Amino acid sequence: MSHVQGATLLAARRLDDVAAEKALLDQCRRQNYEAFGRVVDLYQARVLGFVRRMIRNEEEALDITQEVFIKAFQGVASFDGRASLRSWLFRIAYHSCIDKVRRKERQPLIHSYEPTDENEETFEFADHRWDPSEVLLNDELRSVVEQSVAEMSEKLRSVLILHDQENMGYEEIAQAMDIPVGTVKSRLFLARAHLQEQVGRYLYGKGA
Amino acid sequence: MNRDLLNKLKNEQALDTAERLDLEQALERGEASPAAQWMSQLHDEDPSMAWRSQLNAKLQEIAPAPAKKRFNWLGTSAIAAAGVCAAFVLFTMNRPPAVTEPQPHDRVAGVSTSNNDLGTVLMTAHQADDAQIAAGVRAPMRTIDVGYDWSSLESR
Repeated sequence: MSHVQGATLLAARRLDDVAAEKALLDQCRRQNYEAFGRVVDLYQARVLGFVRRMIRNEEEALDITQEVFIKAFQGVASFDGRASLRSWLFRIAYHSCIDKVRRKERQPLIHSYEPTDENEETFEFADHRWDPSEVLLNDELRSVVEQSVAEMSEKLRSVLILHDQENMGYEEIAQAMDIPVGTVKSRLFLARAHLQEQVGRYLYGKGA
Repeated sequence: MNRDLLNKLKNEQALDTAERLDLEQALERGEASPAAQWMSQLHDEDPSMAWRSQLNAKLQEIAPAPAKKRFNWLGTSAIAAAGVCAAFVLFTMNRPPAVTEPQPHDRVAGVSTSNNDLGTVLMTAHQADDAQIAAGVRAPMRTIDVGYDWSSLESR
């Protein structure tokens, strides 16, 4: 992680402070361009990362991320602040991605978990097969993880990213995606199961 | 986790209490799973400066630009004020010479030129009367000579 990213994350964590976020939001609501620029600084990498994983085309991902911030700037005056700024931005990002997929009428690659006798046990997360070294991402493993995430359905992928990468809570994700909390939990379980199955297949099938 | 529960999760069907508890426990264990740890290690790259510049340009296009608006308002006011000043200066420069007001030491001999002055009014009325008399419109006003009856005084 670069120093810039570290500083950005640190700044984002500081923004978790409700008062600071409220002050920034108040400025943004007055259509303060500079204040909104700070919001973009804080969230551009995270929103782009989310959109990149949702939309597998780099150019489209860059365009959609710009659209997300433009929509946010246009709508910030009417944003009531009940949700956090982060979950509001990810809500816009999620719906923008879904709209894009629907507009293109592209059938997403869905590799949902299909329970079989063979893989049923792999979803017990206390599985002892995992070597600690395999939990740390190197470039090769990162690439496999990214590929596995990309092959999931949008439903599972979005929940997995928002919860395990963005550390959003179940309620927050449910609000952002307009789905029940129980559905968030189901999808998160299946998404983790899918990822673990795919990566395990790569790691253990590689040597076979 | 049993097959029925997995199928229910996949089909997003309602779970009973025991199944919900199973799911909660599985999710708790999942927080420490390799999958969760891999995801937490993924990093996001910042977009390029060109991308950011493009976004800034788009945001500026739709921004109401309050600072610019304030500048226009101030500019308009300044132009209006300058116009008023210029008009005043022109008026002052082209105004006919002012009649000097009588100084305090001239007050006794001073003659007022005001149209509202009583002397001027009387003079104007007198001249009008003269003109009417001269034109034969009206006869000169006769002075009634009422004599005093001295006899009454002598009889006392």
